[in-house]
Amino acid sequence: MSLERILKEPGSERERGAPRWVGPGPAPIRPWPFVIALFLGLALQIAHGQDTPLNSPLPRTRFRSGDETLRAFASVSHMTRHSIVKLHVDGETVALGMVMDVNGLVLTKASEIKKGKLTCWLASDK
Amino acid sequence: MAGLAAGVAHGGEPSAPSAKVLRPKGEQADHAGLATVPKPAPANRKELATAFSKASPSSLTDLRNMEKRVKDLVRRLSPAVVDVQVGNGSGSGVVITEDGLVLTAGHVCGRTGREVRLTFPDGKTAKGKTVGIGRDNDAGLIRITDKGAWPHVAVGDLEQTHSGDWVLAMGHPGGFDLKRSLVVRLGRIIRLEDGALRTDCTISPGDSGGPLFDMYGRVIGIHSFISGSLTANFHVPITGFYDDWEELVKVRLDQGE
Repeated sequence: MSLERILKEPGSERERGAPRWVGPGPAPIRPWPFVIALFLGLALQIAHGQDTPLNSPLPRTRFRSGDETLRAFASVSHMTRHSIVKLHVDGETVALGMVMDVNGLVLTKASEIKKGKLTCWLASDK
Repeated sequence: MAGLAAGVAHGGEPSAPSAKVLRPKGEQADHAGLATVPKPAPANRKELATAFSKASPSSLTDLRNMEKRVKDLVRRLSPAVVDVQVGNGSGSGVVITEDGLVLTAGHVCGRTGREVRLTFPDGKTAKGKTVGIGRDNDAGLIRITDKGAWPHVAVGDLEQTHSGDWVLAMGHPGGFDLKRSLVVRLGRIIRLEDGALRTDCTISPGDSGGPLFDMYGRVIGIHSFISGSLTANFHVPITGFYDDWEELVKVRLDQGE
């Protein structure tokens, strides 16, 4: 149904005295449909928590262990990061550990600590 | 009919209310539900904490909400995740009907008609048989032959599933171990395309055939293939089972069991 016909339909906005464009040239474009569509689009994106198409590959930063995901742990990890150590046996990284007291007692996984020269690296690279 | 369309899963999970029936000409019985294509349970995004719909969790509150959901799901779903022993090999599987239909990987089954021993997380065991193998994918189907009302879970679909959705991988890597029981890993869908579902859930040998759950607790995939990277593994999408269902159950129906 054409716009012209709608406007002529009995009971239409025009018929009921709704305002209509009477100036020179074509009627101006009404921005509201576009604004509403824009908001709907944004709302849908927010609802899905995505700023990329829904089935495009997930960026690595959003992987379970990606930087963006791990940022949520920042308030906890900043308190503990200086207590986490890396353990080397004969120069090879074998495990991580956590310093438990000021004397340097480290909690780690026993089965990874084989015989050899054990070196403990602090977060400060000491 | 106690079958794929069965009502309530172990732990009160809503399941399929009805299902499409595939019945060969002249077939009277439904072979204890085998001829019925599973119907996915509904999912409602509003059920989930907002943390699951964000691009990434952004606070400790988000993480705690996620942890709570994971704990709830593990408690509810894990009783149905079985270790599958076929010959000398072992894999994993998940029971999806009360009378013991088990989804697994085709390469775990090997071929149809093989004897299977299934072990539940609490150590109980049951006998079963391999029923079918997907022609075009790594889908596999096992039927528990012992009588019983088995703990089971609902199946899902991929209609509301997208890259970035959080998922739970469960299985018995390295075989069943009562001291450790089953292993649970949280991860995200990193790619979802026709016939391919990839996640960053770490899976290991022995996980094959185990279930991938969405955060509504529905099976949406079955662990299939470990990639070179720990964080890009392949799962058979649940829709692969639906698409191949007729093929999966064909042998058994043809044999008139």
